Amino acid sequence: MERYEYPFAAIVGQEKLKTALLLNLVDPRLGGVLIQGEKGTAKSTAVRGLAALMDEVEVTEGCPFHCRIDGEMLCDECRTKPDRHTARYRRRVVELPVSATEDRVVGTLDLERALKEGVKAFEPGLLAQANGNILYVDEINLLEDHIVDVLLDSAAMGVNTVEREGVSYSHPARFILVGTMNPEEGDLRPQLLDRFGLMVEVHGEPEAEARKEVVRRRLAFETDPAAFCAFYEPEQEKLRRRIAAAQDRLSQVALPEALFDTVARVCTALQVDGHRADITMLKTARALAALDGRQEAAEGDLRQAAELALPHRLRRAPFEQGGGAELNWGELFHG
Amino acid sequence: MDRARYPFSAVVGQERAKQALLCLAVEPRIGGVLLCGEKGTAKSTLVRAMGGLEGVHLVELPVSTTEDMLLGGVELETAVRTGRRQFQPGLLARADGAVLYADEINLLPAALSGALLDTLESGVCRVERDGISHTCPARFSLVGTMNPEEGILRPQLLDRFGIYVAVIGETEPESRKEVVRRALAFETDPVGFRAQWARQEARLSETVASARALLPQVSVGEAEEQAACLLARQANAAGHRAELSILHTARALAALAGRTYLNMDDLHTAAELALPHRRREGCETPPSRKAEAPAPQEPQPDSSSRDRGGSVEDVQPPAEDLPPDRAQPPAPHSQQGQSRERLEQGEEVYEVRALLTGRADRLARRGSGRRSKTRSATRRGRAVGDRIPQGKAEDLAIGATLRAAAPYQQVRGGGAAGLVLLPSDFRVKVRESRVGADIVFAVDASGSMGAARRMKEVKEAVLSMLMDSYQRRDRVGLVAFRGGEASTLLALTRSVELAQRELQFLPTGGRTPLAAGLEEARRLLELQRRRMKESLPLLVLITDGRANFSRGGDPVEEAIQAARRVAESHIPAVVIDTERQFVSLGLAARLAQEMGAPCYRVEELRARPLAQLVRGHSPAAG
Repeated sequence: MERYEYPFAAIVGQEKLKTALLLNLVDPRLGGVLIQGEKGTAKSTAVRGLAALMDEVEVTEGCPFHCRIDGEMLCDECRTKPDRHTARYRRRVVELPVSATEDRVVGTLDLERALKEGVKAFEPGLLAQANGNILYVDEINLLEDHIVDVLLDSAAMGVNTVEREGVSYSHPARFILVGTMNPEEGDLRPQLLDRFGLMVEVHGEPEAEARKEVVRRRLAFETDPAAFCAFYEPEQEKLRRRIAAAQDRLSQVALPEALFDTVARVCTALQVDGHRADITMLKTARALAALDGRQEAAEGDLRQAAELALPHRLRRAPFEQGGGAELNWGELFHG
Repeated sequence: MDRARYPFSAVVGQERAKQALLCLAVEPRIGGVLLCGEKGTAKSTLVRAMGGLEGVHLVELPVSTTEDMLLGGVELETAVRTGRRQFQPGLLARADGAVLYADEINLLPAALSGALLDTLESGVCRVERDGISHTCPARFSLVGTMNPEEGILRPQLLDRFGIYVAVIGETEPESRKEVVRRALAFETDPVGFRAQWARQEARLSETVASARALLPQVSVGEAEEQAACLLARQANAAGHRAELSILHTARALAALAGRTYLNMDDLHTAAELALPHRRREGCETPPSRKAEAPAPQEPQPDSSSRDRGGSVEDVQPPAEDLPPDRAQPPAPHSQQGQSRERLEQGEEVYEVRALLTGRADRLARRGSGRRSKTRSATRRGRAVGDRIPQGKAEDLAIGATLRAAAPYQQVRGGGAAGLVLLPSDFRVKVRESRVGADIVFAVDASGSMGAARRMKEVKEAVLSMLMDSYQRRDRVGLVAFRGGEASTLLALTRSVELAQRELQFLPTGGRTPLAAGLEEARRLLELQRRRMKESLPLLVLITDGRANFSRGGDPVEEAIQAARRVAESHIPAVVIDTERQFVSLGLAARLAQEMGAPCYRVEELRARPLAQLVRGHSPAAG
């Protein structure tokens, strides 16, 4: 049975969310997105909708980690095998349910082979599936602590190292981490927060017209998903081409020296912990320019990047409301 | 797995941390290096880069490791094939002669860190499991990294580290820019980037190699030994590990400098590396050469409860318990006024938190014999080991079960065609989960308190506790009593956001139904305990001890009855007496006594933080 996902191009509004997600497709090393917001604000729809925009790549045939043929990070087998066969692989969205066990996430002993043959083999888990893909954790703030620890480790290193149930194994696990959360149900540990490249807050559409359009499209999709998807296919295709062009352009986008100065000034002024914010801001600005078809990132890109890369990294004084939403960016950038 | 390693020499700044790691590479007897600092400051990058130096073998200890993998056990395949129990070395044995790296070492489950400690101390890995008894050499040095925001490190483990470095990010805009530039360059072209730094890396490897060769010739005389002892004593360091660490480190420094003798600089630098975690001072303020006298020992926030039977394990080093704010370098001048004000408030609030959660933790541990990490009987938490089940085998530990069955396969007729399992093979998982405290503030919001200010302070305390207690997993709630009633203003929650919203309006004024307030707080905690068996409750009563409203009887007597019920429910409590008059009615103290709770006067919470703040953040100190 064919299953249809609601097309990304058909999502009404939520421009910031859409931009943040697209930027991660343009530069997969951007660090993912954390989406904060109430239920029913198209968070999951947007993330799942990314799958249809993702490209097909060439991977090693039969490799459980779908190592890229031309990749740098290869699993042991791909690295040592003399001739690897090429297979086409469509990158996808891998979901990590909140109830997932550690075994299932990191992988474990292959029980069937152990029982049937007495052989010790590694059974890959979700992190293996996630390699080269998007790893999507809905309600990430409800994840058990020890699963979060594991995620942090792999997200930072791009490697999943397993020492469990008698198997020692390590394999590439480089993924785009996308998480959603409803802040009323508890916060996320700052360490995990910092690992997310970007953060967006989503709200329902306030405009009556837009709200009506949301409902109208949703109904149309539910009535006849095939026709609905077909209708939006040209726009989806346009988006795909735009992403592909931006990916090609990314490495040539210049980052003028002035932008480095601005980043250093802003992050020093805001007393941001560590250096991830600095790095992410510049990479985001570069990806924004690439997505926009330009050869050089500009101050405007940086400001937009700051709004995505900084709010979740700011220290929150106990008595301030919310995060950095009401920061005066203009003053920061020119003060 | 081949991973793209960032070159050690290309890490911007972090001279102290680099020096520490190089010393360890030269002299493993230093035992270990702990890098402690905020997120995103290249701690892990630096340690992993160390593994790229020639002659350094780095073995990583992943956070998800299980006990059997750490220690080793029966090799499954051989056992199935031959029935022989052959030892499969664990991570510790594989780390023999290497550097073992534990990232987020403060998150390591107690079961693992215990085994790690034993082995580190003896240099031998002893295994008694799966029906084998095996001993193998495991001499390794340990490198740990941790973010203090995420929770503390056990004191015994802390003490094992010869060297401690507080890592902070680069604050100079120029170096910040360089950090970013190199990070981007490395990401774009790791191979090219490494090639660029290959010469520096080779030179560094050479330096380490010749220092190692030179080390045995570096002599230590009586004068140096005396100096090391003096330095250790000045820092108030406990035990003799401090002196040894100083000497080992100083010798490594001399060898790295190509000398066979120690000079005063070596000793001073060594002291700066070896002492920060041993002096009873903040981990974020390493000893400065300029500082003449060692800082006075901090008063323990609640020595009273320690006297009442806390064991050594219960004592937390104040070091990692500091709020993240204190790790901050002084703010640039344009921001100074604003940020100082923020810190002042934060500090004050923090003191309350330190008192309270410190106590909650201690109580929890005394009660269950564990730290905030608790062996859990449910299927929640991470699997750290395995055991033979009592009764029905639920939550099977597959690997351990198979290993138990493996040696018998030949006898049972199992093997390559399929294993034969018997119930006696079953092993179940041992799990450990982090459990936070459930803390309910019961606050007097009546007129007698002059209460608006007090309520605001409590709100601040609630928020700040929520904000830096992610790792502790604390939940915080708030009950206010005023007028004729006690009401729950905030149900137990972990959400800062929710607390902020719910506590926007704080009603105050009216008479004091103290008993009702205590009852309501107790009800909340009881409810929580019913919902979660492993809940660790704490009731914080903030009052001036005037009870002047009741449901009929004598208000004071009712309050005392309510306090007794709290004690009967085995809910630990803390009382903060806000009475400011000269003549004390003493009811707060009486209630504290009934609840077996310590009673603090509000001034006690107030006197210290300012002093600490001035010491920690005055521009002169930086």
